[in-house]
Amino acid sequence: MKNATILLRSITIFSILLLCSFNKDASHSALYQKALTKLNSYNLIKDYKVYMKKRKGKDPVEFTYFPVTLNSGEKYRFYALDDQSLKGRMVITIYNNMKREFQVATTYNVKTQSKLDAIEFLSHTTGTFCIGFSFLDGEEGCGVGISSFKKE
Amino acid sequence: MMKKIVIVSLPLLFLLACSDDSQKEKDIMADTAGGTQVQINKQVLGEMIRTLPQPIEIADIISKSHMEFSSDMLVPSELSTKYIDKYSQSLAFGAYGVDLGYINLNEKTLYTLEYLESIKNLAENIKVDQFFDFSTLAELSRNRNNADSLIQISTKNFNKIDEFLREKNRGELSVLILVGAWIEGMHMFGEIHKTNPEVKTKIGEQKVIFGNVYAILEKLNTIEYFANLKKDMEPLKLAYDQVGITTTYRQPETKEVNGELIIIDKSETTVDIDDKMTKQIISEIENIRTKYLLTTQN
Repeated sequence: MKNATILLRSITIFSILLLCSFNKDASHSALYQKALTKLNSYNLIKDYKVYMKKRKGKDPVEFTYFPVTLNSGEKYRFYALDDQSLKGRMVITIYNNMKREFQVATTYNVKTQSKLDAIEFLSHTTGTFCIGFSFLDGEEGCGVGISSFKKE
Repeated sequence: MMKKIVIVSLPLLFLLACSDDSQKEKDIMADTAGGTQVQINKQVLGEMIRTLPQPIEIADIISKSHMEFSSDMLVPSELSTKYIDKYSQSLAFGAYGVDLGYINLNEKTLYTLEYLESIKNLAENIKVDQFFDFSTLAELSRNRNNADSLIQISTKNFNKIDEFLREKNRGELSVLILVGAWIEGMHMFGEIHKTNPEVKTKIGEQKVIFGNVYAILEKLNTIEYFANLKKDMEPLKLAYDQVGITTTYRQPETKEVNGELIIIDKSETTVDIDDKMTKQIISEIENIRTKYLLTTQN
């Protein structure tokens, strides 16, 4: 009987913990479906599901990077949708290669402190670029980034 | 007492298992079916896979070359049942993916069903058919106006398969899907070159992608199939070694339009490739394609 009570308590605590935690898979899935409706005149290439916890204190803002191969003469569009129930607004940054020698573009304009919706990129080089995702001010965030190419 | 510890620890252990993203990075892939241990970090493999183009991108570049659609360029659909192991099946799966993309982008839905059937056969063999709703795809293929939906659904499915295979420590099959797609795309470039010699620059530019393909095969060469494929790609590597690519990076031109950032790449790439090099690359690609995609007993 005592064991059964302990088991019941453990399950209750565990269930509460599960319910209180942010369900990133569900959020990613919903955001992905929504993101696909925004492709318009572009074809989907890849999706990037990103979740980051709020940074601790004055820690630097966390980034996650992925290689992305682009072809010369192609027009690409990169955009992101983030979960509005969290504070983090998702930012996309593109660099010339995985060593990130220089930044090609970002959806965050430092001067105006504003966030843009998307990056449209006409590539004149075939090569492996780098796409980075972060959340403004290191806030907790959950989002889906999309890479797409222009339909003919 | 022991029971109490077990009861209290179980949920904690479960929580730890659910949230352990960083641990995943340290996972080592294991090829359980072949008994081969592939000593490659999951994250590294994932990054390398992302350097390879998707079947739909390859099909798009081919379609934009404005060559008249030709079903002769495709891997015959009836071969799909002849590939004997998961590696050749995965390679063929990627090649058929490009063929299907090429068919759909050209709105030749007459062939869609046939190639969907081939993809279905291979998907069942490599146990990823749960990601394809073939009846919906088949229904969509009956109408030419549905080409866009077919492209989007197929691409979504390919991405899910890649994610699933990597998650399940079968990332080497993802690699082969993309390598198969690349081989098929290069073969198509070769076909286009017969009537449009200007495409040689595109063939030369693919040196960058070939470098990524070769690097990933090198990483996985403890698996016999990969070691053989890499060995068979050595003549192609020698051919590509002669091609010169120079990229001069320049700050891109940027402007904001309707809340979107428009970037015009100002970098310049010069591709140094002559007709002899082009023909050699095309010939080496044909050798690889014939051995791995058209001869089904490898």
